[in-house]
Amino acid sequence: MAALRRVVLLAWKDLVVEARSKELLGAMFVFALLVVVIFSFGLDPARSEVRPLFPGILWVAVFFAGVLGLNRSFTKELEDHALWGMMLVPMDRSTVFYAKALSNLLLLLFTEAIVLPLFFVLLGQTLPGGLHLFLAAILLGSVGFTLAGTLLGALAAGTRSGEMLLPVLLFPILVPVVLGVVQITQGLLLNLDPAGWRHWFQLLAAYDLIFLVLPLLLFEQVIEL
Amino acid sequence: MSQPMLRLEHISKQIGHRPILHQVDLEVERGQRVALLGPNGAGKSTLLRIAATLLKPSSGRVWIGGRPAGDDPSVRAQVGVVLEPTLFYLSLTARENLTLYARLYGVPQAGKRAAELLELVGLALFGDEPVRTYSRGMRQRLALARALVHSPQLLLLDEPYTALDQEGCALLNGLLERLAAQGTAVVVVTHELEPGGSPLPVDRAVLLDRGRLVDGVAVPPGREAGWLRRWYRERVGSGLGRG
Repeated sequence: MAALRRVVLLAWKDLVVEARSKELLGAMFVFALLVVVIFSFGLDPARSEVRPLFPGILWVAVFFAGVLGLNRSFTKELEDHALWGMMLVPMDRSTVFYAKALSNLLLLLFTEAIVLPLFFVLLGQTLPGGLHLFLAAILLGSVGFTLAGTLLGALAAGTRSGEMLLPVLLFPILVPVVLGVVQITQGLLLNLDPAGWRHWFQLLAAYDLIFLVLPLLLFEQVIEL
Repeated sequence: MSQPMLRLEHISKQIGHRPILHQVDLEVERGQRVALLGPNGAGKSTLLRIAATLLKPSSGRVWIGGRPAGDDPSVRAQVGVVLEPTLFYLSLTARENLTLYARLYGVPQAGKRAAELLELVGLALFGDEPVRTYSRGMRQRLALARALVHSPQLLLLDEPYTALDQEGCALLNGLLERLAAQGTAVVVVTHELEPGGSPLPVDRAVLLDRGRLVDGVAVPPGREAGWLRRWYRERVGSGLGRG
């Protein structure tokens, strides 16, 4: 219970720090919005042959925006070595990871809450396959993205070329998440037979579970001085 | 028999192929204040970070209050640390930083504790300013408050007099006297042997050179001015531990 309280406290601290600087949210939101707007000008949504591309466009916009946020999320911890201060606190050091992942997830969900409706409006899309399944895919995909991204973000933050290193490390590991959410979104947008894409939910859930447990074993080694 | 508050047992540290510390043994009793002295690059800060559990030794063990450090995070509850970086979130205010640390350490009435400490280090008037706007000396005072937030039994201070004015040095000296009287063990790494013109308030000094503890002395109370400086100069000036 104390661990959960500390996770919430540290995530709240991250959100307060972000609310004062608006660095992450501004970059994430503007980037995702630009991608959606550019594609809305470049592609004619009425043409049926471009419709299968839309899920890919949507998730590339969201995940690339998310990487911008992840790249900066550990910067505040390193500014005055505040991370060392957290390492001195008598708590399991993975607490810092779970708090950071929670705040990153909330920022990503906030960006998605604005960008996804705009995507449907600007690209003239409808969702015949069911909103609840789409929301479940967003949640599972975003959780997997932030868990894997926060772990690798911590690793990359300790290096000199961290901002370049993170996407290089992260995207190969994210392949199952990207495939899963794109396949599910495509199934829902094009109203395909659920038997062809429902199993991707199981894969996303398994991925999330792995990256939920892995930091318990790895995070302390990742942030070691 | 009571256990020493800090025991460093055969500590060695190597970074890459470079040896930083070699078989260092040190014990600090409750209520004892030890100055860890030595020239630049001697390994003092590395040793302090190992004692604080921020760094793992390549070999050897750290005991805090009779318990092995590293196995159980709760051991860290007994340790307060001031390092060269001050370990704050710069966009939060001093009060928010202290309250955050107090809550993380499980201190009851965290807000009240933060206010007490701001008063103690003379920053009450600036408590609601972001730490980013603080001068180096103000940050150093605040770092001291952070280290004390959970009333630790062992205080590890790395260059705590950095950027402190005369009044700040006197404040820290007085605090070290009071904490020792209450049984807190203190290890202070410093090059300031007469901070603010007063003798460094320690009971013992040890000299680290090229990663080895090469000498130590009990510092007499009521010593004449410059005593510790002379002791240090005689040893370092004689080339002790070199080559």
